[in-house]
Amino acid sequence: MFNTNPVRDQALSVPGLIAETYQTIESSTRSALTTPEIYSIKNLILTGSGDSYNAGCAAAMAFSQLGHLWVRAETPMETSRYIAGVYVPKPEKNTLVIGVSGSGEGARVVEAITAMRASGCRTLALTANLMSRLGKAAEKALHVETPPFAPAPGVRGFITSAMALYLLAIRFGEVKLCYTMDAANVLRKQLRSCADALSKAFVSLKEAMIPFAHEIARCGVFEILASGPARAAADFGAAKLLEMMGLYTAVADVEEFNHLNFFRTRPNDIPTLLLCPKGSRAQRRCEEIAVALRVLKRPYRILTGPSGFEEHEDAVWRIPADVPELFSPLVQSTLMAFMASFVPMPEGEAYYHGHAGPWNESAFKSIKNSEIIL
Amino acid sequence: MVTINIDTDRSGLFEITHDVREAIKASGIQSGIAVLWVPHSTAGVTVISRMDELGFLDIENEINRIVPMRIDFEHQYDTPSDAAGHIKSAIIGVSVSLIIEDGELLCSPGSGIFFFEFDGPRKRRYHLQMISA
Repeated sequence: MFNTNPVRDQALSVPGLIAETYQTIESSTRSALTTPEIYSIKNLILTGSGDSYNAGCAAAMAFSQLGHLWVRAETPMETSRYIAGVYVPKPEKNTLVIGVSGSGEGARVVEAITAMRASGCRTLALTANLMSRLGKAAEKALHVETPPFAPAPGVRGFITSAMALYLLAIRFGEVKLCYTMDAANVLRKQLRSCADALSKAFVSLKEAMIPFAHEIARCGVFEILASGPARAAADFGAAKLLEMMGLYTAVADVEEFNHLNFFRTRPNDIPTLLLCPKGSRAQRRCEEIAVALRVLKRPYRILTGPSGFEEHEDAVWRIPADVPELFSPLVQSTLMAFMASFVPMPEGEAYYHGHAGPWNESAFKSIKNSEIIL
Repeated sequence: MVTINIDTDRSGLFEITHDVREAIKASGIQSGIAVLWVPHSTAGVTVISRMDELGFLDIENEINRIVPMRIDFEHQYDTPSDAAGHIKSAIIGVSVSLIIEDGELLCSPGSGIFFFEFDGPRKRRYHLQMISA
């Protein structure tokens, strides 16, 4: 269907990945925590690095809205060195910390879970490797396996982690009787149907994405604006461009853009993408900022739902399906990777710079062998 | 077989006598039996007095007193309400046998057939299989 490269292949594989892994993950989330545990948890901290951090950011709103929890998504550095024993709320048994890491070997997330568990919090590892340091450090573990695929800056691990977190959030609300089992199953169906939304969007958006992707390469800069759960998709998209070709992308909250990035010089050389899922709580502000982008003459696009932003029709990328804001990062993040896959790689460049030259991580203590301080 | 849908807007009793009577009349069977089957494990069916609506509350309250919803049921795959519902359903039962005579449901005016929802609101259904004697 499309010319291929490894990142695009990963993005295109996501609908199949959701279909393939959904049932196993859904079933696992039902036994991850007992009913008494779910009732005892009032606060939730989601922690992880890179794509795992983005998965936490993507799902934070779902835990709050569906599970009626006080939630924050944090980096492991903040969690281990600043929250554990320092920040409010005081860690205690009614705080659950979920550490997300596919490998389970990121030193900082292992440290964060160990520190929070020592502080008296409940801890849950979300990992593909139950025997990893993370798997062993946490009180409980949720096994989330991502079927293997050709290596590339990853999309699939993010999708399975985010999906597991979403299903856990639905589970919290269901068990706490915030809604009926029928309503919970409607939410689950909406989550699964993200796969269909993606399949349609690949077809309908490809031609529009290619010239914009080339514009990003020509300008060498890129900005993504988003608020709420969509911010996770923005950060994810920025991460893919960095991992693929070292291209730095500025991500800004829709409001903060007006305070800061709005004033960048040569706006007509700053391709800008505004993420506004259908029904977003930030939609009205997104509409105002879209006007600003047009006035600035930035090359801009708006990734949104089937309707809205009609006055920007030439700049709108429509996801041809109703995806609730809660679950939109699943679709938008994949489309970010899909779009990134059309940005031409600089000649001779390799993903992660081939981990070569100054990017060879053996010269310092990197992600896995960083010193753990407790 | 006749299948009748019922959307319960809460947990509790829902009278279905009228719908069952109509289904029996429509079958044309003059004398026989009808088996009513509820294909759910957190709902049931029962025949009780329909004379005093407060009596419905008594039944609902007693069932809830016998099996109160708790969070420490062993069955935790679904919800506490679902776990309690399974037990209530097992106690009340999911089927009743009814008699058809002179083309009508044989049932005293003071009694009624009630669908018992234990985990509402839900989209439910029940089946009726009618056999001529």
